[in-house]
Amino acid sequence: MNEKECSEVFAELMKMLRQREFGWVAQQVEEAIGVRRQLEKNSATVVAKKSLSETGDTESYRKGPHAAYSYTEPYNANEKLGILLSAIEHAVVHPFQMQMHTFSVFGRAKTPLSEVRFVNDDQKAPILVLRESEMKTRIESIRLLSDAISCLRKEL
Amino acid sequence: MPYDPQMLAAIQAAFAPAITPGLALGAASSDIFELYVFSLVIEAAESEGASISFSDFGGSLPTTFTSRTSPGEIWWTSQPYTHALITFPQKPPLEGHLSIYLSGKSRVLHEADISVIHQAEAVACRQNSSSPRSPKALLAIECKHYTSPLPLGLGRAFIGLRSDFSARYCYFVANTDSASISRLLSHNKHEKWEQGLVPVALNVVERLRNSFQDCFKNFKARP
Repeated sequence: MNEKECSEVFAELMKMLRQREFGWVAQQVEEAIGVRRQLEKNSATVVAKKSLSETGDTESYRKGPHAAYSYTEPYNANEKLGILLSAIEHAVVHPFQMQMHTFSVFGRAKTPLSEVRFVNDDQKAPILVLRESEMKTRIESIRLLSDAISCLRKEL
Repeated sequence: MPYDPQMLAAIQAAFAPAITPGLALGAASSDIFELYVFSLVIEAAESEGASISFSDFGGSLPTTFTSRTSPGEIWWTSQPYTHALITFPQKPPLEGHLSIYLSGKSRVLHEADISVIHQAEAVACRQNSSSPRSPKALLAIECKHYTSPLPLGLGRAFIGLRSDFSARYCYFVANTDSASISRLLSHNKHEKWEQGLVPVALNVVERLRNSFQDCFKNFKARP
């Protein structure tokens, strides 16, 4: 995919996330892209000449030995799309796999549990209920999404 | 190979049916991640020979696991919060908790996303309406779930938290990676951390579970 195609797909997927109330994912992606990528390079240091004057004249410095310096650079369009695809996996695909694993562990206990309720201390109604029985219906959908993301990632 | 627009359409079509109802809330995926790490702790204890059961404040055996969405005190009874009972033969029983406050060396209360504490401490705190002391915690875990590379501030905050916790096994566990945080935490050999923890990263999952197992192995070995 060229840079223009990557940018277009990036914009479409960001729009999809916001429309589906996954704006928090889009926001985390934007923040991560804004922080830029940290890299390292070997650059020359400068050392002061013995004759450095009190005025700190820059001409009184000379090149010193090389040392590792950190710096940042922006992500390109291809990398931005890669970050976004990973974000969708982290928001939808991996949580599903985590739930599957958790229920398999809870099911082995002396008192097996097949439902999880997330509650807030000052609210009676649960904020989120996960049921093992309902997960099976989404296995195929998760596989389709995961495959579609993998397909697109191969083109990056 | 030219880009096929059908690839974008395939993601758009598959997205909605794949969503866990309620997952649109960002906090929900963090809660699921904490529960997942909790399940790895339980697996590690099982592998070391523990028997596992679940209980709530009053000692009832629940049929549903009730978990907190925000940190709370171990002694709160407004909801039937569930904890794990971890029992090794010939050893004092332990309890595994999610999102409770632990008291640090400074006596400041900190949230421990996951903790394993001595049951005697848990019982005392439930009776006295107080927070467990971090030296009585076998294990304390800070969990971070992000959909993109972790902000460096999370690593810095963990170092501060770690300095006030006395738990021997204190972990920073995240689902995504950050080279800066890895570098920051690896700089101190005493920091225990794992990043990129997702179920498909088998090597990462195995390494973390083994580390938890090591914690239980040492607990069993101590007189």
